[in-house]
Amino acid sequence: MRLLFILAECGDPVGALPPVPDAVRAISSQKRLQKMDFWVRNPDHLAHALLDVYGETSEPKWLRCAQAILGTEEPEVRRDAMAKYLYGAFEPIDTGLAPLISYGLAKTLRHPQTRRLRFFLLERGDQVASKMQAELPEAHWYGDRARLVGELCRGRSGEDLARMQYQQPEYANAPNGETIASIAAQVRARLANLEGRS
Amino acid sequence: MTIAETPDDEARADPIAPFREAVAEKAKVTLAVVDLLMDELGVSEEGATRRADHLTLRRLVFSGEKRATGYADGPFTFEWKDLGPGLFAAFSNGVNQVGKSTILEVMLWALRGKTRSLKPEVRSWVNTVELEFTIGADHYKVDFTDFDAVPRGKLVLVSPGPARILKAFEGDDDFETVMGDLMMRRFALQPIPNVRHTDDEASQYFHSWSAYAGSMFIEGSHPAILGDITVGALWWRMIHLFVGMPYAATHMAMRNAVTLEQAQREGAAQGKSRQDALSAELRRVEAERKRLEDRLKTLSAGALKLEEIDALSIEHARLSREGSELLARAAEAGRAAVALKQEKDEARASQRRLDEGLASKRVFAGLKPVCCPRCAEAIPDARARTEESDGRCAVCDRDTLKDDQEAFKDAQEAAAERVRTLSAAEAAARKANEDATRAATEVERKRSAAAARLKAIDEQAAALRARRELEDQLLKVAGAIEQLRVLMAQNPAAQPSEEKLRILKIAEAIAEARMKTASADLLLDLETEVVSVAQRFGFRGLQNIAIRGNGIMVTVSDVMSGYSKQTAGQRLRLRIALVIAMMRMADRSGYGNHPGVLFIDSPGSEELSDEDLFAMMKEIGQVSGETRNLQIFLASARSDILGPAVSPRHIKGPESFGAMF
Repeated sequence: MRLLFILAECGDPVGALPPVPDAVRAISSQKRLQKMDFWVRNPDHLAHALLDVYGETSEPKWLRCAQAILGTEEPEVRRDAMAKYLYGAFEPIDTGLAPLISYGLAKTLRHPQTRRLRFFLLERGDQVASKMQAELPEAHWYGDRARLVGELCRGRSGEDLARMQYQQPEYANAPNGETIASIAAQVRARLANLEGRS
Repeated sequence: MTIAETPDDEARADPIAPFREAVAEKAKVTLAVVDLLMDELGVSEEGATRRADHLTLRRLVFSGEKRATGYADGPFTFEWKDLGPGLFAAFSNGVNQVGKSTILEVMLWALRGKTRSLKPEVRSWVNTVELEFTIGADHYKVDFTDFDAVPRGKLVLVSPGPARILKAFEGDDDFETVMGDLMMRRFALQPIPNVRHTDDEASQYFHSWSAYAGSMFIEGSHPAILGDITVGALWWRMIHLFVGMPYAATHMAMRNAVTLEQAQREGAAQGKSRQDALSAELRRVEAERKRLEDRLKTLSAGALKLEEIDALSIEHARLSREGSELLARAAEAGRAAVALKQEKDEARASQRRLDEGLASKRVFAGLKPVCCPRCAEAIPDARARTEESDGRCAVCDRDTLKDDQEAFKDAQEAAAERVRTLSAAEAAARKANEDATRAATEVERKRSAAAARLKAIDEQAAALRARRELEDQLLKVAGAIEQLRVLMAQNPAAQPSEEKLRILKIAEAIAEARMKTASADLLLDLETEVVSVAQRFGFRGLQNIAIRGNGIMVTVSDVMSGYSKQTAGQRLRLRIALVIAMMRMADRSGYGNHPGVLFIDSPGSEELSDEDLFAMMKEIGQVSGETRNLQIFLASARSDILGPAVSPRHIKGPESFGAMF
């Protein structure tokens, strides 16, 4: 469900002649997909990134988004911890993707030149996502969150996203193969500090 | 008269004449003259050497409040109980400044009524101290408060019989005297006289219990084999008295009397105008009396309620202890609450995942798979048709119609139940934490009130103390005036008598001869014992040690050299070996005067390698186990190395205390 919404909300539109028939949206590398997934799964780390962007751009919407996340119990209840692998959060994505592929909602394909794995949302997938949004209360949150992450990631490459996530010591210093720690407390303190000043 | 009991020594089968008679005979004077002289010097006939009792610390409690440490301020109570003979250790693991040395310093302070090198700021944290100890069958307790560096408390004989206060004390000097009196009497130790030369005056002073007790503390460089004072061969005299060598005390007293007498004769021979000096002195002392009397008039009299102080300090110690316990309980509950919250959050996350899984299952169940999720192989039409007709899954062939609705419902209920239980448990822990914190705050309020009251009483006591001091000074001044008048009446001053010096010299020679004969065997025993113990401690190649008044010679691998020429590690071994050797001798013969307690602070790696240090401590533990009359306290930051050498029940470590207290 999570990956379906990430593809639906964060994917870039494909051109007129997609490499995969019926594809409507695409994510161009596994790294990019992984980083987006990490932020959906770790609201605390997302809030941290939002505050970073707010610090750079001073656009109040980012601050509002961070406030909305930290003001609820999202960082505690919505956290699906990820393990770190060598250079970042990485979990075999195939397992989550398999049902989507099996149901004909998504497809993967390696780029013929770069050999990069690309992820495509098929037309049917797009329909199912809309249907779930309409019918399943549980899906609303994923749709909204994936949209926010998509907005945050627009115009940034997988490398850029990795760099942003690495600015957080809990992320950078997590031992290989172990779960990346929650930073909810630190980020809340950071927000309180920002609010107190402004 | 009794001499060293060495039944195999034929030469001593004949009883020798009493000391005073021997002196009278040799000096060709009557016994009465000798008696008069000896009584004046306070020299008594040698009695039997004392049956050895040993000192054992049983329990130490001290409490107070840490201030301005920058990391761990607040009230504390330290307790070390169930102490007995053997090796005990206060460890910090690799970190200094956590109070392990303080524990040893407080023990020694309580034992002798005088601090050794307890830092003033650390002393200011300590408000109450209680030390229980036994000597032989007698159980004692000394407890005192210490506000503004004035100890005030009492020495109690707890058992046998009903508990009774032996002495109350107030002030450093008073405290030292009380402890000194008890210990000197119990261990039959005698003040070690010494002569102090200042300008052209010679006067006598005494090393007493403080010096003896100080020699039980081993730390840092080791200038002497016993204690830290090298002048006046104090260590040599202490060895004699600790071992209980016959005539040691008599000889010491005679030698000093001779030295003092000679020094005073030299002073008198200078022939200065005594009368002038005396009348000037008299005028000065009378002016002093007038000044003291005036000051005394400004101070009012009052009485100090000792019982109230007592009750208050007990209350204060109890409250500190309760406060620490409550704080610990609050912290425990707080930790539990945090852990429970984490668990609850995790349970809620699982619940959410389950709900989401079920929701998406409902959607996905309506979809048709087009390929295998594992290998992406397209699903044959026949399979898809089978699913449509009889509900068997096109991918795994499972019967999807009989969906495990029941199982999902159960799982959802179980998840909800888990969240409920954990929420309740978390709330309970949070409440326990709040209750304990509130109670701790209340106890702390009462404690600081008690501390404030104690302090107020203390200030009142200060005024009273000042008055008492003034009265004491006045008494002394009155005495001085009287003495000066007597001296001025003796005109001219009495010449020191040649006769007295002659008799004293004879007495010294006889005492020395007797001491040497009687001591030779004991000393040889001691030396043999020191060598055997030091060898066990890893002093390799040690063959012989000769302990003499003019120095200690050590033979190592056929080479002889002085004590000070040994390495720091070898000196440390010899120091510890000496005390242990004395206790082993006392254990065998039943006679001796050493209390049998040792404090060893931070034996470091600059003295011994890790292996040697470990081996030595292990041996010390074993040796003390063999004699059962030794109690050794070790303070060290090297628990990694020394930990295994000490019985776990005998260890106090920062593990249980954060800082030691």
